[in-house]
Amino acid sequence: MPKLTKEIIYKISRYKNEPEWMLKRRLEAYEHFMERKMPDWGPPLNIDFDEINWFKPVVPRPRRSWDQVPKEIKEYFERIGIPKAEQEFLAGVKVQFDSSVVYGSLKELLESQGVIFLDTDTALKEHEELFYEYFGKLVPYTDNKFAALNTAVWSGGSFIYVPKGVKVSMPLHAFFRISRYGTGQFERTLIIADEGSEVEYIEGCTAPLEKLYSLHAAVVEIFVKRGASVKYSTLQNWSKNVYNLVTKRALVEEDAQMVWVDINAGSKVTMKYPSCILKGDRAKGAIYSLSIADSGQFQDTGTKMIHVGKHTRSVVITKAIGKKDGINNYRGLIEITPNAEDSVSNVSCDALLFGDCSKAGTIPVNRIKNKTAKVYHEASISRVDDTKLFYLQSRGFDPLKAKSMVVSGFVTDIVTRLPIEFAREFDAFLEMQLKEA
Amino acid sequence: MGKEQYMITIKHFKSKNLIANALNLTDFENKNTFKVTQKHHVFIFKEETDVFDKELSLDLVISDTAEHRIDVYLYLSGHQKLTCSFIARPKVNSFFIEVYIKAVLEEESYLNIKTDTIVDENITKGYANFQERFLIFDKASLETIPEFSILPAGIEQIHGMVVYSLDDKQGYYLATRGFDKTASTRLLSL
Repeated sequence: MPKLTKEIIYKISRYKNEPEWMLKRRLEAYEHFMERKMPDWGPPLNIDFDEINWFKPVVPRPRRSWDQVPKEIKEYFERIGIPKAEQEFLAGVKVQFDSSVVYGSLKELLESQGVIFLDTDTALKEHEELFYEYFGKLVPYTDNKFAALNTAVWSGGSFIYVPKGVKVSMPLHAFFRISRYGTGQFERTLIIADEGSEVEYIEGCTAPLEKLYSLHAAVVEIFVKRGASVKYSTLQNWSKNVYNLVTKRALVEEDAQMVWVDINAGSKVTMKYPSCILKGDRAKGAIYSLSIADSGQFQDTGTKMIHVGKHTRSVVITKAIGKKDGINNYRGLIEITPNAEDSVSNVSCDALLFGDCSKAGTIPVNRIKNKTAKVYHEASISRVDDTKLFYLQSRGFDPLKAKSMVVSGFVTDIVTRLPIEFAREFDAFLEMQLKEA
Repeated sequence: MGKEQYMITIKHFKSKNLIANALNLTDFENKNTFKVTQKHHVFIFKEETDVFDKELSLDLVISDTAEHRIDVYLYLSGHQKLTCSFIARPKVNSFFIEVYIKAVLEEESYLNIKTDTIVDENITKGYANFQERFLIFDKASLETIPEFSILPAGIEQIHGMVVYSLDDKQGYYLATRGFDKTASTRLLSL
């Protein structure tokens, strides 16, 4: 594989026929990436940058017949209860997610409302002014080494613009726009919810997604304007060879609301801390997060809530489940700035561990610079309570069902926030995970 | 919720008559380890100097399986700046420690406080509970890092932290009973 060079950046930009300012931005980001050191905190990152294929032009997804799909994958889909159309798409039988009827009518509705829902590359071509106004403003390439890398070589991702006062009635699913193989290694997602609008976006799925690469460095920027509301749900269940290093950030203005629902079950190492900058008065931010670390996995997740406006509110509820020698770590920041009068933050992070080998830790930082702030933080790390399991088994539940009931109770706060289509599949998914615990 | 727990602590504090046994944190400036031997230790930190910038790092070494409790009271005012850490370092299996930290910050004081539990590889069972209550006035600021190092599954860890402001009604009540602002603040934030 070629090393990342300026020539590769030129090649990517020319191939996509991008405007000059984007090429300039990519080159600046490249310089920063090369200069910036690897983070000296968090999980060990043994990434061989020379092994990475920096840019592969999108090609039609390879097709295969349903008979060619391995039996175990079919069984997995059946047990989770994924709809047939989605099964075929995930298994590579269908080139495009078979949602033409649903998406066709949704597309018409979105267009009539002025909603833009495109892949990021197309959006740059068709809505350059809008793109220029927001791209990199919330996560500049100087933010961290992987944000710099993403800015230098980004490709794919979603672009959503919701005009003033428009309430999108159906959740926008990344599936609706995927027509090519894979979702991209360096995705860039940009969401702008204009004043008083509402939108829900879903990415990922409960099915395990095989990635052909070892590094996924994505950036998500969300602008939630005055009185708007955005909910962003992620269910990540990638293969266990992937380093998943993602920067997600939302700027929340007056009376607006941002909700992150973030579930991480796959990948080798995840470093992801969805954040909210509560800029406007009465802005609200929330994150409901669940991490599952199995053997060989390190889930380093958390959040940042920066209270800038007055009367701002934040809620952080994170749950972690550790299996075998899996490691979970919560890393968070709550900052109440001097002008954030009467701001309230509630943080709760709990970990539940199976067996003696799994590990968990928390590193929450709380910075309070205003005397009227109210900050509540609680954390606990404990093992599955054997007495609860014994009680349930004495009432006739088999060990797996008993375990599943205890864990279901533990994750209720998160599952109830999942979109309905995820929640149904998630119960089956969780039971399968517990079988191996 | 925070205040209720706080009052329970005070009752406990009085019932044990521990003020007489209290140790001033300034006694530990040149030491960084403290052997936790009694069931209940009380540390108090209060400096009269208006301006200072101090660091205090205290390792709480636990060498038995008794149920230990430590209460820490910190009071900062003026331009006082304190950076401190309380690290539980259990040396035995089935250890048990609860640390309650209460701090009142006034004027332009600053407190940076870190708590953690760090164990040797051979320690696989135990219980650590850190509870922190902070009361902030004026332009004081606070940074807390209630860390749990990544530990094995057998070690149960709990942490709670509350930053709150005084209830104006309680302050008003005391004022009507003749307490000035300073006295009522002290009473309510004990």
